[in-house]
Amino acid sequence: MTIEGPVTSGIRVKTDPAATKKFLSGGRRRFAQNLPGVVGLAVIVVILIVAIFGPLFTLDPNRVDMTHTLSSDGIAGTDALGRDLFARVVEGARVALFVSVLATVLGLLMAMVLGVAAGYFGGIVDEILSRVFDVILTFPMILLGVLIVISIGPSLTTVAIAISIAIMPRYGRQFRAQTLSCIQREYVQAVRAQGYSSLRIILRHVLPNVWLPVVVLAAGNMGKVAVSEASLSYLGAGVQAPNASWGNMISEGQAYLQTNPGLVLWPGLVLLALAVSFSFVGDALRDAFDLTE
Amino acid sequence: MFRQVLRRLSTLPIVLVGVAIALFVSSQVLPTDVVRLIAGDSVTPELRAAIEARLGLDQPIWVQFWNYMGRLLRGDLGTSIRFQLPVSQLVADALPASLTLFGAAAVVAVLIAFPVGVLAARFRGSWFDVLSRGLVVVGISSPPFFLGLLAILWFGLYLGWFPVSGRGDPPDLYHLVLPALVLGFREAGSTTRVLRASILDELSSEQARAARARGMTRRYVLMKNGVRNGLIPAVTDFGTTMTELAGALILIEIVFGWPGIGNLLYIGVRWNDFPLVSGTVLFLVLYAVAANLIVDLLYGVIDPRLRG
Repeated sequence: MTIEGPVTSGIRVKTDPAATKKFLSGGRRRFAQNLPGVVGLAVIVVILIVAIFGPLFTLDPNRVDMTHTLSSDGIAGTDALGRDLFARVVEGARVALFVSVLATVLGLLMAMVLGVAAGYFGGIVDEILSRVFDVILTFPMILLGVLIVISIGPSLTTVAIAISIAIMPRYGRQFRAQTLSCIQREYVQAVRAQGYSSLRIILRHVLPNVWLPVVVLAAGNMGKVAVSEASLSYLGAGVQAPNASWGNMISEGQAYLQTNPGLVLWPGLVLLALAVSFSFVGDALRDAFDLTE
Repeated sequence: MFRQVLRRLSTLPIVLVGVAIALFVSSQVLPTDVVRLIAGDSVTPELRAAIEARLGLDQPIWVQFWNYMGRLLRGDLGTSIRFQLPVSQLVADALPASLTLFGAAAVVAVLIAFPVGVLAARFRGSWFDVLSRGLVVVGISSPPFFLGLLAILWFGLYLGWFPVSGRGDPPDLYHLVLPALVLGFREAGSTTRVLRASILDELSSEQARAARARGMTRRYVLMKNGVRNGLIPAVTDFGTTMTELAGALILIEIVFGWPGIGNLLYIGVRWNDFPLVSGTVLFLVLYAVAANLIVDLLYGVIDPRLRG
């Protein structure tokens, strides 16, 4: 019987760095050959740069100026309260990206704990956690969002928490499946036989080998998170006025659709560009790293 | 199969009770002062006491919870603060509008997804395939409300082909066109993609290649091997999107001022009308759970391998 890794030291059996490196470099090469993916990534990077550095050059997005309402001042004009539209679109980009990152990270963390636990311990733990995943997946994301947001009150963080709970089960299932296949491997069996604690085995031997594909998958799904934030804000259960979010900007601008379509088009088209770009990047990542959901 | 259905059925009451508890707890912690919402800011202590007594707010919390669950079981979703009408009645009145839009969108989605999926697979790599795949990505990833607004802007305001708000009085098909098209287009995306992929999969199978080698025509192999077998995953996917359709339905109803459940939820959120929000959410949750159950049951009908 062959045992992977240098077992003689007993504790140094960890992840295989060569495999991780191969996974990353092979995936990167295949991703670079995917044109829509590369273009999408470029669009996302541009939006990201504008979101980070834009506020250095734009006006205060919340400054009301009733003498210049619905004017064509500045790059994109002003809204019904005389606020600079471009500055608000940039502010909206910050909100959208902030919520996307926060919700994805939170969702991944919860999914990691629950999914790995379900896969590693199996039995009744697995049964209960898998039911929890099923139940959450039953809800349309927007409904779950409204439910959570009205329960704890609308704010930027609440929206992120609500969305993270909604996306958690998809990644939880991934972590569970990855863990199930990982604990069959000989190096895990070997450390188990040596009698180390479950926590230590999970942290040192299981987690390092299962997290990467799930994180890649989650990165590709961030566009859906941004759309969810915009949807909740559009509904009035997200980011609250006067703070700018693409969703509530579109909601406020809708009344002026006939006379000033720019109020809806500016935030809407940037949101659409971000969402479609993420979708292309997500597809490219799934193909490049050979991941399935 | 039977076990799976039992499992689903067993989670149904748990989900509903869980959601009811969540809604009750949030009604307790929410800073909204119900009495002020009803009687205005200048409420006298006597009037306040009278309203609290009428709503049962002077009772201990566990009595309030018991009463709340009892009312839910009798189908009483509470009284809307904004409309001063029972929420169950408001939901019942809005239901036909939602179901109409929902059904129309599902038909549009089927009419788009199945022909486009088959043609894209048949003419793989052609301009049609590339275009349809691009549109699929837009459909899947775009925010539904913005798609609706674009349609309003172009087909409603610029070209003036269709009315852009409401259902018409009396309700007519004319008002239904735009919202149903937008919702259907969005929902068609993932099914189109799955159908195309599964047909291509089937066409590269050994049976399909053997059939071609035996001299069967391309069209025959496409229909017999590709489409017939490729339909199973596509129908499964269509079932799954039925839950997602409910989420997009809410947003599209708001955009088009369509007088359905989604609009009711919107009014509730905007007016801080908690009974209205919790009532519509509970109803929609019931729908989502039921839709999942029906889809699970249908799998057994579509795919004989799952019967057992």
